[in-house]
Amino acid sequence: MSTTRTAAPANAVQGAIVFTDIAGFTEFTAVRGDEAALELLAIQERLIRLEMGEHGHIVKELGDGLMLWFEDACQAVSCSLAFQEEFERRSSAEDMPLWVRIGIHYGRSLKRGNDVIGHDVNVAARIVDLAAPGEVLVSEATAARVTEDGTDIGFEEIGPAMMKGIPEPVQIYRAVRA
Amino acid sequence: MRCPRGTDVSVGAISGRVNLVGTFGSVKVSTVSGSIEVDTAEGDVDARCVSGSITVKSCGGRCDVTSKSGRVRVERVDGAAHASTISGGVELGTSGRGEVELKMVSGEAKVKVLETKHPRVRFQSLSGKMLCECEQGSDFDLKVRSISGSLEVTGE
Repeated sequence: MSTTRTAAPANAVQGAIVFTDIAGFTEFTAVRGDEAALELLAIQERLIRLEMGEHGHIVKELGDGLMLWFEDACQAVSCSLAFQEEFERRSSAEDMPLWVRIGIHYGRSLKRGNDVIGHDVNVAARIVDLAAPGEVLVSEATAARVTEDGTDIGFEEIGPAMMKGIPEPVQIYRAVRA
Repeated sequence: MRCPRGTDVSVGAISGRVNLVGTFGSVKVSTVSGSIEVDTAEGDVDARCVSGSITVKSCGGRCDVTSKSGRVRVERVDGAAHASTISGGVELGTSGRGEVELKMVSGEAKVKVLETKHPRVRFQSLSGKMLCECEQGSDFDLKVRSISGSLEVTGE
């Protein structure tokens, strides 16, 4: 079967794919109980919607994480940093030792109903695996688009990362406030 | 692979073990399931893996180490240190010249202050316990957050 790409299909979209993951959700649920876990997921979704506004949308829930889609890479990174800052502020104030890990990749994906699929979606999903608690990691493709736009966002190089099922290494950066 | 002393190194691997023997400049290593071992880095270290363990013998600069499910061990760091793990433990020796921040879920954290410095300790946990055998002060910040893991701080 040929895998050569020809003209872009009508359901192809370019954008930033964002994956979030709550570090320690299972342990938190065991210690605090199901109701507290449910409330935690609601807090995550509420904060994401607040920071995201009209710039992006939630594609789907993935257990304790979310998959988001933004048309603009800069908005995706800016929203993710703002979310982390607010989540950190709340978790410190409420004595809640929890963190969210975030991975972002900019690329092409195909719409499938309300979902999006494709190689670049898989890359984004792998990036979040390497993120430390509280961190926002982005691919080079994402960082390049943000740099072009010029903002208060900076990037620290993490280096090349090999990812399971992804043939080429992906250059990874940590997004920070400049 | 061999390289001159003090070389900056960036390595990415999926499942192989990455072992950096000797003295390097700055070091950046990521793996999916392989363990990471670093002898000496004169500069900064960023080492991260999904399921392997991480060992850094000596880091002269800032040290960032994170493993989702492996053990993290830093024998000596002279700059700031940020270590995190979801299910593994953390052992870290600090000269006390930079802040130390540990983020853990369930493993145990052991911090050794290698010089005559007095940390300002802040331990936040839902169910973990802290044992501090080191005189506290204001030389550097030691922040540890954990859901159920415990913290042990010792001096020289």
